[in-house]
Amino acid sequence: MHISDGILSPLVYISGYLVAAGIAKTTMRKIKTDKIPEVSVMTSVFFVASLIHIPLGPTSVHLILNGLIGIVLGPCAFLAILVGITLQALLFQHGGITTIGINACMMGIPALIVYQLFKLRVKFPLKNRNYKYVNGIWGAAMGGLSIFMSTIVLAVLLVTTGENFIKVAGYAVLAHIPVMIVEAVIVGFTVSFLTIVKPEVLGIKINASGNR
Amino acid sequence: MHPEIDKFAHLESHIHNWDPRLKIFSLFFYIFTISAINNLIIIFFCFCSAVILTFISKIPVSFVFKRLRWVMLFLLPFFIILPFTDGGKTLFYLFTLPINSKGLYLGTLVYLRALTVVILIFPTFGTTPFDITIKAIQRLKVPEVLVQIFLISYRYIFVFLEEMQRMHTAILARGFRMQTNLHSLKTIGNFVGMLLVRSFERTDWIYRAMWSRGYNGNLQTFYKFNVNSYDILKSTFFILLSLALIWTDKIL
Repeated sequence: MHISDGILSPLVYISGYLVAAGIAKTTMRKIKTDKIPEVSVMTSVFFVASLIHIPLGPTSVHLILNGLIGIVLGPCAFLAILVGITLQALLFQHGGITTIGINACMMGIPALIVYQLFKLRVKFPLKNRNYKYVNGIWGAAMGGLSIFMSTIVLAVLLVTTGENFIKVAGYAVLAHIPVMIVEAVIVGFTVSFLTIVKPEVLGIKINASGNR
Repeated sequence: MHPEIDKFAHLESHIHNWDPRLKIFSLFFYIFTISAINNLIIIFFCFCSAVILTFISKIPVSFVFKRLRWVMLFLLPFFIILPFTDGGKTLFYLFTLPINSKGLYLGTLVYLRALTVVILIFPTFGTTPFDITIKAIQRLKVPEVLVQIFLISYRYIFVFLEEMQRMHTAILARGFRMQTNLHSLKTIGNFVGMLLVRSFERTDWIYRAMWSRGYNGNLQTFYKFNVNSYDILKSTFFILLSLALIWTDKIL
């Protein structure tokens, strides 16, 4: 999900850059040197995952994974997505140069929101200790939600460009519904996998009672 | 498709020997100008200039075209849907659907404008090795943290691509076939999870190796930037051209 060059008006993409710079600046203060490799891993995974295509009827969709990045990196997710989008624009000509800021906001802000929501899951204590399923379901919800939020932002941006773009915006939303579903299922399975195999990636501390 | 934009960075041309900092700055200025222009004739001129610039840079046309194919496909919806939207006179009817002049104009404009900017990426970033590009970006006052994430993730992309290829071969060898069902999605979900686990572990080793070799968060390269008068001339030309184009766009 990207907005290409040459579609948005200068006012919109310049404000996109300003918002992205603001968020990047505030999140950059929190980052320490030893966190940089971790953020870089997620940046590369974001880039590489966009090459995985899932067949869907006559077409195929590719993974976006901004929700997963939000869950794993937390506040630093925005930096990973910002750099990931820049790399996609430069190496794949996917997206655009003038729209790096706006694309980063479109995918990065949902990632930040999703992280805060994912943390809420500990507020709902369950008798069922089967964290594999619980985290999986939360992960699926977050994966779908992040795409949903990005799609809404995309549609709003297209509509503000001009009344001629309303139709395009409608088709864009429609085209992203299957993406949302596929992404939700995949992120759900990934999160449940990580819960078992490497829970520290999800920020889960394991203590003696096995509390996750 | 291999994400190697700097495959032809070793060639010699007037674009290649342009100082990377000035090149990136002035061509970015040009790119931003283009995306603010709303006149089809000027955009067509810019399109021609982008093509000429690519020819001067000696990057093979086949390389550019192969990468443009997907971009052209990606942009097609705008070109197809916009002519049907309201505004202006109805030019003619296509299977009872009206084609409107304003929509057609807008569709062509958006398509050509987007394509022009994408073509300009090749002379801007395809003519300098990527690590030097990153160094130049750092000199243009991009924050250190971002530059480092940039550099490390650029290296990792190739490592992870290889890892992914290997894992893909492994699941194929076990008889996996990608279909549209829950089993495939579950496998891909676990695949992504495994890719993450392996990547994190590998990064941990790399980080420790870097740390023990004295990495402290600063980038060190041997490349020395130097600017000559030709570089300044080229950059001035593009910035003046951009300003002239904005001015013409205002008048027309």
